[in-house]
Amino acid sequence: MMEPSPAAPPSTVAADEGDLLWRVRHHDLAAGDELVRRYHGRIYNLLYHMTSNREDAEDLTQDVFVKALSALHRFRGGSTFYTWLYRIALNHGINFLKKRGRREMLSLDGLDPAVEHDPFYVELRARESPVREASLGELQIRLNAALRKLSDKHRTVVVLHDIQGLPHEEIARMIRTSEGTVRSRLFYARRQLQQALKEFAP
Amino acid sequence: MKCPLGKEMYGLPETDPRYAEVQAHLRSCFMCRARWDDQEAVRQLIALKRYEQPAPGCEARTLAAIHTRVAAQWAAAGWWQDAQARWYAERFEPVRLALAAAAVLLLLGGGYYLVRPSGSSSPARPAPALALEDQRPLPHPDSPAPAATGLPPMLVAASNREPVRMDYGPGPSVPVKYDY
Repeated sequence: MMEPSPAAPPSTVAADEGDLLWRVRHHDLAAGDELVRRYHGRIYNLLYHMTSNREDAEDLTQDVFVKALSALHRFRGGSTFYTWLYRIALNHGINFLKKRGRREMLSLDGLDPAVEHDPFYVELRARESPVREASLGELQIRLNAALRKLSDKHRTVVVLHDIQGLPHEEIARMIRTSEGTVRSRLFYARRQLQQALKEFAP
Repeated sequence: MKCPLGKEMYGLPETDPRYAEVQAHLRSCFMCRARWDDQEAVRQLIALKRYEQPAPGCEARTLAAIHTRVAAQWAAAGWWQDAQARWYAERFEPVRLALAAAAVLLLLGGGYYLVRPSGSSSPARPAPALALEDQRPLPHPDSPAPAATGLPPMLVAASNREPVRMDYGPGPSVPVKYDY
């Protein structure tokens, strides 16, 4: 099974990160803005895929960055800033979901038209499968609904690995567990997703 | 390779040393192969979610909101630090000065106590005056017997009011009072 390529390796953007962090610690707002710009996309996507609600994801993203920038003096450098920030976002997202429960409606982001050229999607459409009949919007709703049925632990690893493309090793560091546990959770989560999406999954 | 594959074997990255062994097993085991393919299909299906894109302006909106909130927090933190310093100066500065003055006085007092002249604090008690009425030097044992004074060798007190000296040998006698 191919390991998906990560969205952007943190090492490539971490060249002058130490300097940025130092400036933020000394209340330099411009440095804070730069850090937010660097990680906004990934943190927003993580929270959006966890909540399946764009308004909640936007609010949570703000909270996560405000919390991180205000508590930067507690970042000891034991991990990369990227891992530390992701950990804050994960905890914040999971706490939010616990409070919210299952009441919230889906509020989905738009789909990039490039999805229609995705090799897997093209293959699905070519098969005798409900995907051929279903609209992209319908498929999107089904995927999000299925993801929301997972437990927090299972949803977290699916979002981080299958959607965001982080390697098992990185996920294990973020959620402070072993790589074997990450793969094991992924196995069970996909089995559940397969049940929920059985008419779409081949 | 154990069959069926352990759940932690699914999704092994190609860099893992067990990957080749797992692939060899998958080539020969239909059941494990089917399960592996199911997992992969679900992964690819759910990965279509990555095409969901935030609305335009989302980043700018979030950035502006974060900027405002963090700036307010930092300003509040600065105000709070100033207020703490002011309160400290107003409430604790006089107390601190008084404490410092008391400490200086204590040090000075303690220092003086330690380095004072030794006789100044407790003047030596004057030696008691000799109560002996007779302070004549003792006669040398080889010296000749005292010259006859005309008194008998032992004087018997004639009165019990006046102390009398009683000589019992060559040494001086101790005046004895019979005032009892």
